[in-house]
Amino acid sequence: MADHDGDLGLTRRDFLRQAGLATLAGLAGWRLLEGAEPALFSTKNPLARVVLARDRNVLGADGTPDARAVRRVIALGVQALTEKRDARTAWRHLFRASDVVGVKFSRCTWMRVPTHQEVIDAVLDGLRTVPVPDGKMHTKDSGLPARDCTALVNVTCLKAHPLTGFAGAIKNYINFHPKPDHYHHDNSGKLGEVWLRPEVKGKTRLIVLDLLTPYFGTGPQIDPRYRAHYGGVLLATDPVAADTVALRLCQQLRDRYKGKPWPLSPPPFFLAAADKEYRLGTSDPKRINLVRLGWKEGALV
Amino acid sequence: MLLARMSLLGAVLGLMLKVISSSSPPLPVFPEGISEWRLAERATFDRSNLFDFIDGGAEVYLAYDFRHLSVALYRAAEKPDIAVELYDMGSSDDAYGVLSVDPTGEHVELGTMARYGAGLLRLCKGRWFIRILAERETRQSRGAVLDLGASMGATIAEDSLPPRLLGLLPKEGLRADSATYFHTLTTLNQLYYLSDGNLLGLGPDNEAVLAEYEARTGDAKLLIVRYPSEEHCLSARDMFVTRYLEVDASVQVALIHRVEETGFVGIQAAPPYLIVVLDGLERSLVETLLERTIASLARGEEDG
Repeated sequence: MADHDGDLGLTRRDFLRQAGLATLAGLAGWRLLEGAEPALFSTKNPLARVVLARDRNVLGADGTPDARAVRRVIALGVQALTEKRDARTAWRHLFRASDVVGVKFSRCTWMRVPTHQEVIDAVLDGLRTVPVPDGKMHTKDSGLPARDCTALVNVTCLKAHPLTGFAGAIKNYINFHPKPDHYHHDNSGKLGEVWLRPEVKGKTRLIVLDLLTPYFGTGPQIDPRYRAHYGGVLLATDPVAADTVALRLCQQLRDRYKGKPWPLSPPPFFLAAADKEYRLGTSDPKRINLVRLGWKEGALV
Repeated sequence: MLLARMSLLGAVLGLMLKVISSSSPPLPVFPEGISEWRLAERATFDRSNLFDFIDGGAEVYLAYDFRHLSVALYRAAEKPDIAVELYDMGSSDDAYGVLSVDPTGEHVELGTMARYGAGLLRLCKGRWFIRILAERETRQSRGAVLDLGASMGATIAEDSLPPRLLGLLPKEGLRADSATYFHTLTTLNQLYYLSDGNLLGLGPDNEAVLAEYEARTGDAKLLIVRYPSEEHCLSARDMFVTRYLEVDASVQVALIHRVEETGFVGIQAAPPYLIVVLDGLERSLVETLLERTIASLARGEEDG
């Protein structure tokens, strides 16, 4: 009869009452009657540095990315992330010529929200400046041979998701597990676990979140009304911090579209677990230093 | 993009392509062409392999009585592709339900519930839910999408009426395009996360509707569940009261409780119906909604 008997699990109230989760709930747009708006992205004592780089001209009128503009934005972003004097030095700071690099992108063709090819190409161009030879780069969604790689680049895009709340850097690794749907149980709270698989753990040197046209709407398939022309990329080394900023952006896009709060549901439990349980990074917005570059209008975060 | 998807799944699709058996319901006709677009590819899926088409999202359809999906791709030279997805949802209620997960959009006149926005047309008629998506919206592709919808809708003889449960929602204060018809926890949590456990004992045998209400004193959400029996209804009420509201379950009539995290919550059983009001900023709004819903259910029962 019932589709889920047994353990009654975490309720909405539990979620709002637990320290840490309430902050996440606020980021996800939930109304907090007795909670203040969470403090966001302070530069004091940061645990993580995240760079948001945008360019007004990175997308054509029809939404097609300009490959040269994408390369420029990513180069500036990598430079700012590493605080190096130029992009080449920045790439060399993150990768060595001896590395075998896996570039894990998101195809997501069913939802029609893949990582833009222009973003993938810009990352490959950056790796070539190290120089990582083409023969030592694996660029795939599913089937990426992580075991053979010494380094990974997580190149994904931001989208709202009907089962996980939203999908970004952490969820992009779901198909490193042989049975990805395994992680859609228990509110997808265990998504972070896949980052601890032996072939994956500790290899991610760079996260590039494609925010050219993030998707903030209902699913499961795309509804083009909910696709924003945002023209940005987010760069980080901490996947939890990157997703925390991405969550805030996704929520802001939703609220802006509706003109009122439009909370993500279900809430992204995986994000808190990735921080507290799997220790992949920080989801505390007060401990994230968000560096903003380029186009400011409509940045929302 | 769809071309890439079709290529990616090409080998798999080859094995999946099926001739619709004579025992299947009559399939609405995919026209051979619309304007300059021509039918180029087709594939079909059922409950066992829907994940191959919607990897990571099929649960949204499986939460309803999804039976069968037929997909078609239309192409025209130098024009955006148009993808058509035709879902047999088993009943007109469930076809309506899956559309009502997001009931917003431009209302278009196709003789049935239909919503359009930015190149995507969604409509339901009879047991069928149809999504028609132009890869890019242009004046021409919009016309073709709407013509395809009209053409396919015309081949469906079944009528489409909203599920009866929607008619039991109190009219006053009901926000337009806010009501969703559903059955299971999967859909409820997509709309309003309540719990990862099944506090309300939801399953395919019950019907439920969640809608938004506006009032001078603020907004609230109204959930009505119709259970298969009085026993199910009362059991769900007790579970919700003890586990969610965390108060004594010996409630016999309406209970309104202030939940410090989310506002006032009201619950009242009128077996087989259970009424829950959520996120009420003011007690009076919750009280009013419960009263109006009880009256509406009584009128509905009288009307049969």
